[in-house]
Amino acid sequence: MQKEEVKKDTQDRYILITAVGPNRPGLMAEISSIIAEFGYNIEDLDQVVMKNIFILSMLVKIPFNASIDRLKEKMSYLCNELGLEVSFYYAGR
Amino acid sequence: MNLDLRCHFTMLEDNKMVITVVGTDRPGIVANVTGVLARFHVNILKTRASTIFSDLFVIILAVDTSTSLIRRDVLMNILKKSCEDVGLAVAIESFQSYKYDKKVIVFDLDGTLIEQEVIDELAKAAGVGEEVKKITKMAMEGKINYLEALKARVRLLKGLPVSVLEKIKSSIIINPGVKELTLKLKELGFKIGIITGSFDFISNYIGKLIGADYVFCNKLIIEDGYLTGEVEGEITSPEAKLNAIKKIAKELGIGLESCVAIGDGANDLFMIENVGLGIGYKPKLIVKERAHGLINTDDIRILLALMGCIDLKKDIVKRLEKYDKNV
Repeated sequence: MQKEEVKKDTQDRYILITAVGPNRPGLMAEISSIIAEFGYNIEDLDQVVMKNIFILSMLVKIPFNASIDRLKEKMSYLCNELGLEVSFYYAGR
Repeated sequence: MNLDLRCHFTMLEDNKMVITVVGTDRPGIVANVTGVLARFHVNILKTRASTIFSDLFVIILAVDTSTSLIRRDVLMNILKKSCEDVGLAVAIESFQSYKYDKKVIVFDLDGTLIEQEVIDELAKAAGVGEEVKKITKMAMEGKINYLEALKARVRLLKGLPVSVLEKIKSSIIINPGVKELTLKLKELGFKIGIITGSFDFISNYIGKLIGADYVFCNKLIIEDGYLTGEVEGEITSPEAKLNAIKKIAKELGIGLESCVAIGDGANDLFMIENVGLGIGYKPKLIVKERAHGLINTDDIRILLALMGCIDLKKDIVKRLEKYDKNV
């Protein structure tokens, strides 16, 4: 039982981040620079503009020993400033 | 008035372009590229980014430059430079050209498909290495034209036995990934061409090896087993290389926007500039500045990803396998 616990803690986690809101140049840069600041890797990313609404979904790999909360906090703050609705989904290990 | 309207219209059309960036997967790639676009107020319309071939990361960005603060050619050069600085391969194509399926790909030989400059190897074998280098330099500086330079260099090779050619042939090093790349391109239905100012004995040999459909090169004249010091052929200048690819396109009934060209030197410049997608492979400065794309790593296979020939099937299989594991 304990062994399994240890193993789990050394596995990387994934979160899926989505952001939606009014489009303008620079949104991708601001959002991706936060991920880069944390040193996390974007595994997959899709972004599109529909009717001038910016829609982004990206899968981010979080190292096992890193905290998701700090990223969430910073990203929420940024997206709030940019006028984007942001959501975080835990996407497994 | 009419003309004005038309100009305006083409400007609008020309505002869209597609940027493909490929590199070894690591944090910060998306931030690098989108950072440049943001700095100059370029609007990203669509992004697709994913890890492919397990260790490469590919980003495809469709952008609208109508809000850009700088001219498009300046933007392209900044993008190329910033990608090069961090070891990323990049291709930037106008939407006008991007929407055409690519059907033909032509390669320069020396420095692109193979490592060596064949004329230098021949000169070394003939013991005229220094003289040949001097002429090459003069041609580069524009003191003599390409044709004269070629003739003068070949003249110095007079009397070289054919056995030496065989020896050079066996010492030629094909660049990493070339065989896999050309095999894949064949599978995808591409016509492959070699357009080179190099010589027939090596061009045809490499052509056969990679299954080239077209080989344009110069011919060394041989008499009684020795080089006569004469050369036949017309691939001597940037114009000649462009004409060769035009010939291929015409024969296949396609436009230049369906062609891809890869080279490294100044004489590849016209063909690289005028095809739909012209890529500099470890290019000289002048090519770097005017090519649509750059590959600076050893691995020419990256070209596949730059051209958008990403194996999506494999990608989907991998994804579904991952999905099974996760459920």
